Amino acid sequence: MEAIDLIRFFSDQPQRYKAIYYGLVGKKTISNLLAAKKNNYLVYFHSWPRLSLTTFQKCLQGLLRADFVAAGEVADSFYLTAAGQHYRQAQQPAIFIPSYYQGLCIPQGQQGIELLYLAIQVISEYHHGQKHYIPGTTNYLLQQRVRQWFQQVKHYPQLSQQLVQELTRWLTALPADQADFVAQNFQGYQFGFQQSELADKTPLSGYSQQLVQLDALALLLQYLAQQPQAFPLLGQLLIPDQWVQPILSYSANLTYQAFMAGQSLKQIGYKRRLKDSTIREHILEVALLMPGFDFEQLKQQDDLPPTDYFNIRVAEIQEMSGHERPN
Amino acid sequence: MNAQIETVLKSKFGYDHFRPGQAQIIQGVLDQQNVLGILPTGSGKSLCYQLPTYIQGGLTVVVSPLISLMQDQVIQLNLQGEKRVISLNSTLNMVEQQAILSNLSHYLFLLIAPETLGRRDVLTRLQQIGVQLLVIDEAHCISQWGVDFRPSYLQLGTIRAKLRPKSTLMLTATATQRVQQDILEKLGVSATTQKVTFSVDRPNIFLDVLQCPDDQAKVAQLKELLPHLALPGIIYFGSRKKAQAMAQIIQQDLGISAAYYHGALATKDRYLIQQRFMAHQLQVICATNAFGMGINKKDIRFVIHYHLPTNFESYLQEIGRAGRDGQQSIAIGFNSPDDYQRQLALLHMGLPDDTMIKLFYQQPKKFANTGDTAFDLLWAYQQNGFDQQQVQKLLQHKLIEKQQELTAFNQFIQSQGCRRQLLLAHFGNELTHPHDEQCCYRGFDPKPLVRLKQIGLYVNQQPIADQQVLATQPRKWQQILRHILE
Repeated sequence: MEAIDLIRFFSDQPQRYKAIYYGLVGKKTISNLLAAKKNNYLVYFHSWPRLSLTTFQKCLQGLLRADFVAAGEVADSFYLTAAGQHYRQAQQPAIFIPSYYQGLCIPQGQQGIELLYLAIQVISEYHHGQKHYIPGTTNYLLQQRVRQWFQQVKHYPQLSQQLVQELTRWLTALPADQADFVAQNFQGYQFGFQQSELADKTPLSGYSQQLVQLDALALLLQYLAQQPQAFPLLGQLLIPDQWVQPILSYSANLTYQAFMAGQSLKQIGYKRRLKDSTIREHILEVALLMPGFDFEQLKQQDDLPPTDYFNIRVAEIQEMSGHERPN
Repeated sequence: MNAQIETVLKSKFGYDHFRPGQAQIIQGVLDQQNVLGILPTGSGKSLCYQLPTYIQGGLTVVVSPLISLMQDQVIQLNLQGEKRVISLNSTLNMVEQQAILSNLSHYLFLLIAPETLGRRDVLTRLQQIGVQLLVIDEAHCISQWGVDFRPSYLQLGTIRAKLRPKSTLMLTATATQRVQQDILEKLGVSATTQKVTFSVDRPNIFLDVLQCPDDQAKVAQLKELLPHLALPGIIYFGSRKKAQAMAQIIQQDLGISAAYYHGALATKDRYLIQQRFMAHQLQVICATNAFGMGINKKDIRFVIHYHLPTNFESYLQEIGRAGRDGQQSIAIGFNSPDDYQRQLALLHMGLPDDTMIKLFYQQPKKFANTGDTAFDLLWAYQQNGFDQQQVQKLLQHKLIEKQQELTAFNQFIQSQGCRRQLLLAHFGNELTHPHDEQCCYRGFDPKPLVRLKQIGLYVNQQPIADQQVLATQPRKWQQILRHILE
C-alpha cells in the first residue's frame, strides 16, 4: 500500500482510520457505510478485500511519521495536515477515480478480472495453435469456469475475430489511456507485461492500477446486461446476474419495498417476523444507499424520540447533501 | 523396452533416447514394482513418473514437500501441453479443495503435500478412485538422518498402506546409504524394492571458483564475464534485494536482457519470466534459491553463484540446471571472505532454539499456525509424536550436521585439488575419468575468460536488451488485440 493510496481517503475533517480499512475490505455495517458515505469513499467499498490490517496500519504509521496526517480529538481518528494536502496535490496523477465502478455492487471484481483475462489468454493461445502455455491464474474455480466456457464457445464461427469485436466494442467506450492500460494487462500468445514493467509505464499507484481495471470491468458488465446480443462470447463467460449484485442486501430491499408500499416499520416487522431493531437497520441501509429515499415519509411513521440512536443516524444521513463526491 | 514406451517418449516429450537410469525406473514402475530412484538433478526424474502415467492411465499421486515444488511441476506439465494436472494444497480454500476432490477422476496427476494427503476426506476420495502410482518426490525428507528431514513425511508409511497404490516410486537426487535404508524402512517397502542409483556427476559442467575480495569485486567480475559468456544463464543470489539490483545492472550497463526471480514475485510475473526465458526473450535470470525454478530449459550454458550455498546438495541442485542438453556448460562460484559469516547465519534460519522449544512444549496449541517457520517445524514434530527432549536432541543433531556440511562444502570451495572428485566423493561416487582441462579449475581461477575460451564458451555477444524486446511488444489496445488474437 503506497502513501497516496491511503492519503486519498483522508480530509481536513478527522475520521476513524479503522472505518476506512473496513470499508476497503468490505465489512458492511451501518457504521462503516455511514463513515464511507460521510467521507466520500462509498464507491471504494470492498475494492481491496485482501488488504491486511497490518499493511494498512504500517502505511498509516508512515503518514504520521511524515506529518501528512495528525491525530484528531476522538481516539483513533486522523485528519489531513497541510503537508498531507500538499503531498496529495502533488501526487494527483497517481490517483484514478472510477466512473462506472461501485464496490458494493461488484464485490468479486478482482476475480471477474482474472476470469476475463484467462479467457482472453485461452482464446489467444488456441487461435495460435499453442497448447504449451501456463494459465495466467492458479485459481482452480476460475480455471474450471473458463474451461467450461471454452467448451461451450470453441466451435463458434471465427471465434477469435468475434472476441476481438466484443473487446473492441468495450475498449472503445473507455478513455484511450484506460483502454491501453487494461489491454496491457492481458496475457496471450507471446505477449504479457510483468507488474514492474507496467508500473514503470504509468504514474498510477498500485491500488489505482487495480481500480482502472475494476472500473473497466464494471462498464463491461453494464454492456453485457444492456446489450447481450452484441456479446455472445463474453456474455456466456461473465453472466451479469452472477457478478453484479444490487446495492441493497436482499432483506433490506424487501423492507424497502414494503416501506414504499406505505407500511409502517412496526407493520413490516410484524409481517416479516423480524425485530424492530432489524427493520430500523434496514431502513438506515436504505437511507444511506438509495438516493431518492423519502425521509418525510419516515418521519410521519416514526414514533421514536428524536434522541434515539436511530433518529440521530437518520438525521445524520439526511444532512449529508447530495451524492458522494469521488476522491 | 517395448515400442509403446519409445513412442510416448517421442510424442509426449520429444526425446529419441532415455537418459541413464530413466528406462530402468520406468520399466520397474510398469512392472508394478516399487522403485527407489537416486538420480542426479537434471537427469529427468519427473519423466520417470510422467511417462508410465501416460501408458498405464489411472491417477498418479506425487507427494512433494513444498508448494513451490508442486507449482513448478504443474507449470512444467502445462508447458508440455498437459492440462490434467492439479495441485491440492493449503493455498486453496475449502470450496476449491472440495471441488478438486469431486473432479479428481478427470486428472492424471495430483501434486500434494504429505499433510494434505493424510487428511481423512482426501484419503477416502483417493481410496474410491484408486491410485495407480504413488510418487514420493524428495524422498530423502523422510529420513531423520538427512538435513532436509520433514516430520510430516513420517506419515507416508501409514498413508501408503491405506492407499495401496499399484506401485510406489521414491525419487531423490541425493541419498547416502543410511538415508536410502531409512527411506525404505519408513515407507515399509524394503523387501520388494528395486534400487536404481546413478552417479551425480555432470561431466559437461565445468566447475570453476573465483576469489573476490569483496562485493564490489563480485560486481566487477560479473561485468567482465557476462559480455563473453555464452548465454543463457542463471545467477544465484542469497538475497532478493541483490538479485533485483543486479538484474537491473546487467540490463542497463551490459545491455543483456535480464530479470530477477524470487518467491515474493506475483504469480503472473513468475510465469511471464519463465515463459520469456523459455522463449529466449530473456537471457539471464537473477534468482534466489528460495524458489525452485520449475523450468526444464535445456540449453542453460552457465550457473553463477554470486552467493554460494551452504551445502553440497543445494550446490549440486543449482548447478544441475545448466547443460541439460548435454552440451558444454560451466558453473562459476564467487567466493569472498565475508561469505562465511553469511552462510553461518543461514544455518540457524528457521531452526528453533532451546528457549523456543521449551516455550512451545508448554502450550503447543498456542503456536499452531503462527506462520513462523521455526514454530511450524515444532508443531510438525509435536504432531508426529516427538517430545521436547527428542526434538532438542534432533535439532542439535541437525545443526551440527548442517555445520559439518558447511565445513565440508567450504573445503570443497577452498580446495586446490580436483573439485569434481571431492563433489563426487561426498555423494559416494567416484570419478569415471581422470582430471583434465575440461573437468574443473584447481584452486581459485585467476583468468576465467581464458577458461571460457578453453572450454568453448567464450563469445563476443551482441546482446539484445530486454527493453528492446519489450519495445517490440505492442502498447496500444488495438495493436494488442491484433497481436494476440489475429
